[in-house]
Amino acid sequence: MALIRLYMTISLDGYVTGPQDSSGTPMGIGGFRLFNWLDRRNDPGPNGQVYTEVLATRAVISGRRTFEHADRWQGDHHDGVPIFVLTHNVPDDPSPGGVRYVTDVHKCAAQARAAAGDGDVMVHGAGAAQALLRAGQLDELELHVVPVLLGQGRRLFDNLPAEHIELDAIRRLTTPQVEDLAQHVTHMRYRIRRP
Amino acid sequence: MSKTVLYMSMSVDGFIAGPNVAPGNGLGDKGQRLHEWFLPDADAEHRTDSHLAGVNREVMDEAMATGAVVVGRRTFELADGWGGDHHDGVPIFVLSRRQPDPKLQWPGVTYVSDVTTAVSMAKDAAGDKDVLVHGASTARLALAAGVLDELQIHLIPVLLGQGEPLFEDMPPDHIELELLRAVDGPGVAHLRYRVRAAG
Repeated sequence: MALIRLYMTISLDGYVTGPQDSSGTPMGIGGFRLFNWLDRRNDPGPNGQVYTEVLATRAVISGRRTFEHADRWQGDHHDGVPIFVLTHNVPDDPSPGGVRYVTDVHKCAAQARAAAGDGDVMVHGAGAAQALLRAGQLDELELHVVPVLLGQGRRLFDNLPAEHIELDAIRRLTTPQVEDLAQHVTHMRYRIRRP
Repeated sequence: MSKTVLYMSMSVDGFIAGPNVAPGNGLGDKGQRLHEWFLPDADAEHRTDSHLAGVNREVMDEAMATGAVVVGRRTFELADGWGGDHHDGVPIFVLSRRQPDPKLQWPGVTYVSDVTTAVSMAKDAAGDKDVLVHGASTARLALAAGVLDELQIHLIPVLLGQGEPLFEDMPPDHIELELLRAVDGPGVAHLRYRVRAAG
């Protein structure tokens, strides 16, 4: 069965955007600092390897906020794979491309797994990640940990209950020291243990 | 030259203690989980890290080779001042703007009102050795004052959900880091960063 894996770039202090993120400033103030590592996404090495894995996923789950802030990816996140948008309110206007709006997190996960077939599902956005975690539907985390303290912004892990979720660290890929410091990042992959 | 190094165990969601931290509950509810990598049995009568081996032993030995400690008042009080001896009797500098609690005074403990002075005194006391910095608020103050040199984060593979974050209420000025070393021990990834400069 397809795994559902969160891919998110975060600062060491746990932020996925800078402060005051909005549709006009999707990464918040200064938040694009987090994406410097993507400058090397087409190079050999850890950054290229991880980005290739992202593009190999066969379905996308996104929260509504991330989806809108990303300008709906014009209906195509990568390779035209189906995009499942978790939302409380399905919009009236027709969905672009392969986009499907889903209000129930369990149905969303089931539909995305089915659509991904032999591939995996990538999740994007803090809201979708938290909803899937609470529903026990997230299988893995791939966190691109950037060596910077943003100080303020939107937290990846927030609004979770005070119940421990145990993880198994299954892979760590670190940028070689020879590369430019601005593009350094540590890719941490965790499997979420089922109680 | 002596460096100041923050040593903290942190969950993947950024917490260094569980919720409801209070005297007698210094690590918060179920916060002991974060220290299991070096103290697996919190209820043991004689708490010890003598069982540690490999990477975890090396990293713990580095912390215990520091020549002075700088700690916040709250962390110090929650730990009952470590009985006046954090490790090997090295001098302890406690950051506090209030008068010291008479019950928490020992010969090796000095109360200092500002972080820059505390770090300066600790470096002098440590000589060639590094200074161990402990506590979230002290870390933030030291970062803001530009007197923290390195961060040794023991990253624990768990999401606590709720608790006390290490980094919070900081100014939105980026602080750039450089990963100096990443090593994995049983139940923990030790990430050591150098503070490059405020962005």
